[in-house]
Amino acid sequence: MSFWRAEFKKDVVVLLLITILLSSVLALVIGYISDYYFGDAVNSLIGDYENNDLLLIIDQQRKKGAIKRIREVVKDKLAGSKVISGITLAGRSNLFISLADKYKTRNVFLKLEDYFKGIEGVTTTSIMTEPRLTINGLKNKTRELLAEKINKLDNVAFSFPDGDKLEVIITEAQFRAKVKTEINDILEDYQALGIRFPISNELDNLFLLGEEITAAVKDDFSGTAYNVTESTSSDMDSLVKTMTEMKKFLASYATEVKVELFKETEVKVGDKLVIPAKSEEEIYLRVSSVNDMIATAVITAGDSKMILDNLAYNLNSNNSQSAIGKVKINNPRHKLAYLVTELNKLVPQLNYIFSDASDLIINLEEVFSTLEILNDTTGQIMLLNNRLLAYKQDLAEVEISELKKDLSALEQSLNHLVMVIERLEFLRDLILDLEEKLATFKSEVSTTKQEFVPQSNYHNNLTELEDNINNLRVKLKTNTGKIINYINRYNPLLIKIKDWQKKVKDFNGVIDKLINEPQINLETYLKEIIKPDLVTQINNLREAELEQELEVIKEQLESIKRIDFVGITKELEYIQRSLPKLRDEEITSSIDLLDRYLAGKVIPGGEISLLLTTANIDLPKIKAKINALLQQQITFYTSPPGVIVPNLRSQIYQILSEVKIILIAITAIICTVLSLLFDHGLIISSLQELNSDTKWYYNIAFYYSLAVGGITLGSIIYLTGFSSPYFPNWGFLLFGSGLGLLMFKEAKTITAISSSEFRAGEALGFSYAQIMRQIIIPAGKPGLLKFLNRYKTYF
Amino acid sequence: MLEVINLTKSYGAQQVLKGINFQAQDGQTVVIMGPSGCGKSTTIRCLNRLTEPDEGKILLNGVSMLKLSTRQLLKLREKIAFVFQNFNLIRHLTVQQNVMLPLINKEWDRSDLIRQANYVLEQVKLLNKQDASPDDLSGGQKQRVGIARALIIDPELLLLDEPTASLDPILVKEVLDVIEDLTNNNSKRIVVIVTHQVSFALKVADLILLLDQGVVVEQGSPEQIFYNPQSELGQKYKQLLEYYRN
Repeated sequence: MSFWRAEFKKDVVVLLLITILLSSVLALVIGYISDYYFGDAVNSLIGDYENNDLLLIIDQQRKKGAIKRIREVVKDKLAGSKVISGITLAGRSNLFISLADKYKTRNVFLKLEDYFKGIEGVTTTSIMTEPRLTINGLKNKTRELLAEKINKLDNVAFSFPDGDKLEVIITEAQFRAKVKTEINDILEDYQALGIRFPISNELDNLFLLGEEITAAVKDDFSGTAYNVTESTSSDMDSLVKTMTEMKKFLASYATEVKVELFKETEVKVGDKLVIPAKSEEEIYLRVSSVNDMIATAVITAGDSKMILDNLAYNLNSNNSQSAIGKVKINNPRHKLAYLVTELNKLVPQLNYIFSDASDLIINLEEVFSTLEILNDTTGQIMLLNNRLLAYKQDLAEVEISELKKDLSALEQSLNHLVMVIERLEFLRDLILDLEEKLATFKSEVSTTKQEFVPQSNYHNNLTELEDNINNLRVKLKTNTGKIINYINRYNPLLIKIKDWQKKVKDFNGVIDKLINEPQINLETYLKEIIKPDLVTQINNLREAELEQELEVIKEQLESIKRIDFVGITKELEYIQRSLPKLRDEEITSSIDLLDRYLAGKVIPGGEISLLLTTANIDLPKIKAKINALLQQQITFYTSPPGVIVPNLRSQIYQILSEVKIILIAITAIICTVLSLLFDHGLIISSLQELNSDTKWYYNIAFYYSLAVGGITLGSIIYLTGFSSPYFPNWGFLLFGSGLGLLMFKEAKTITAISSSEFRAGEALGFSYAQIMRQIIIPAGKPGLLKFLNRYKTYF
Repeated sequence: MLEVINLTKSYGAQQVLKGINFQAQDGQTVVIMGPSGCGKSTTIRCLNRLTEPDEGKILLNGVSMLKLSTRQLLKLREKIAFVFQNFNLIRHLTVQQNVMLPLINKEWDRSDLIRQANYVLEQVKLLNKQDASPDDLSGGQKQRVGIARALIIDPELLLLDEPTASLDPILVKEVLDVIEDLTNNNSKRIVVIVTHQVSFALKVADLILLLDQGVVVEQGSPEQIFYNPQSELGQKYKQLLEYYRN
């Protein structure tokens, strides 16, 4: 009785076909349900994005206007595309744009975000087209080079750059894994070689140097080398630079502690010192250097403001109870604060100086106007004096009325002259007062300056200020010296003039009596008021010279006002406010942290980037060549030219698709196992019965088991379109055969058939098919085989 | 006529049949006897090729059974009935269905088939059990169903392999009575029975084969075997018969 010649093989074929078809459909349905269920769950979390191409996040308050404008842009530039409203959360609304197919091109995607960026209310635009792959970390030229190759791949629709990324749009999601593998293959064909220069080494034209290096490398390299040097630094470079500057900034304001070591004390770099503090919290130091019995340390715990005693103790020493030296604290932050405080104290003084200078200038201007009439006054006095002299010589001819008139004029002129001289004296006092104030101010600036370490910035700034004030004081004194000498020359005259003024006044008071009392001696009076010598002395005063000197003083005073001392103080206050509000320990720990980070980093100077093909590459040789060419300290680093990065949403869907294929695979395996258990098991058992005398390798049941297991599982997997990067489809053929083999081993236990019934069938003249259909299958477990067989049984 | 010529069979290195020869005319009943393991069951199973013999010839009405194709063999088996020691009934079928089973391939009306089944069941006195499950029957009843299943095809060759071996002594008689009835009719049917029942053999046999270690040590009529045996084995059966009679 042969199985192959038996009619029953048709039943087996039908069973296999129906099993495979039903199982495939079931697996697909389960896959679809998982897609539907999990997809919905994910969509509710992150939005149904798979069919959308652009996500716009809109400020809710400006949503209405923004959506209107977005719709206009879509209508104008992307006609036929859909605008879909998403959820609103925390004041932000999501809006999706699903592009019409004709717009799914590289050119549109290059401009897509720009279409909407300018719209008021749109805060974020994000391309979300799927399926896509994102390659990260690509230099400009590398990106162009790779994009050209990637665009040629099957199933790649197009690619477009986005910052240092290349977005690759795939025609269908099922090709994602395949395209990813192919892109990885392309990436593996290249290697990026970075050449970094130290931070101190600023190079003018890195690109040209890169060209030179590329040319040199090409000489000894059978592959291809590209110069992909970029002029702009990377974000990481910027970060490292910023951190380096930050460290410098913190270090310049960090408190430096100098410990003048006592004799026979030993301190090493790294030793931990302690200083008693006002609070319970002691101040701990770490020694950073030791030179000439002076240890320099930084504060690792506590704050220098809290120092109680100026003695330091070494915790690393055997004798930590004894002080090791005297502490001197240099806290730039405190000093700056002190400076600002002290300078603020000087501001009122400077205000007084400015006020005095202003008064002086006003007085000078008045003196100038007075001096203009001084000449006239002097001339008038001379003229009147001469006329009085004429009167004296010819008393008989004296017209009293004329004389009175002349006396009045002389009195007025003398009054004027006295006023000018008195004003000059007042001016002199003002100048002397200002000089004194400037001297005091300079002295206080000098005192403040002494609080700062010589050669420090603040010391230098204060020295400059002190010098300026001193120069002004010296100039003022030099010039005013002349003026005061000049003014002093008026002092003796002033007494005489005042005396003359009195006499003229007195005479003017009695001259009316001369008209009524001719006995009054006119000549005596005239003799008293005629002062030719005094007139000569007055005439000798050089007003023009005085005016010139006073002009110089005026200019000096105005220059004082131009010093923006308040501005300087405000600037210092700003610097003080800008200082880190950190305790000493926090500054030290921040510097330590920055050091730790920077320790592993090459501080970015310039960077030259090469892209090399990996075939036959000899990196050590290339590096040696570059080293020989550059002849300076450089650092090499190698990396892949780019990395395919997971896109979160894409990853979630990738996971979902993997869940789906896993469910499909599990369903296929379960269906195969069930089919083996409930259907083929009977056949396998019956074949074993039929060939009970033969060895396993001659036993048709053995080969049948392998075949149906493999065919069933393999076919289901094939029909479901299952594809997994982790397990090849042909593997399922083997796995199915393995399941079949297991069934072969266990069939007599799991699906035992009645040997006596089988023999009875044989004895009755039944063919194998009839035995199976009429006897074995109806007695077997319920399954597809039994179901299909029910029309073939007689009973 | 059934003619068995030089039939041999081995299981591996062990030769269980070493050239069996006998001949049975139409209507004859052949009883094969011998000690356990002598090859009785192998011989009878070879007669319908449930066990394939290694060599020899089996001629049934001139047709060499060993040269038949599978299809021809299946066709021939429709004329050969086999009653098993352990009944070999189909448990999921009723008594009536078990009996009908050999004829389901024939183009019979179902009603005719049922009628025929009932007829043979009546012959074995089990018509009242037609709807019963084999599991509900006693051993003797099961064997009578097996006999009915054999009889329904009206076989040219009826093979009974120790039909009472699995029965307790009380039930043996009812089975032997049925078989005795079968052999006593005037049919052309050749009946081959493997049994240890000496008195039964004496009653029904036309030819008795005594097998020992795969060899027919003696064959002949019951009288010849039991009253004038030539072989040692025959002597033993003679003594046994005498023992029962006494």
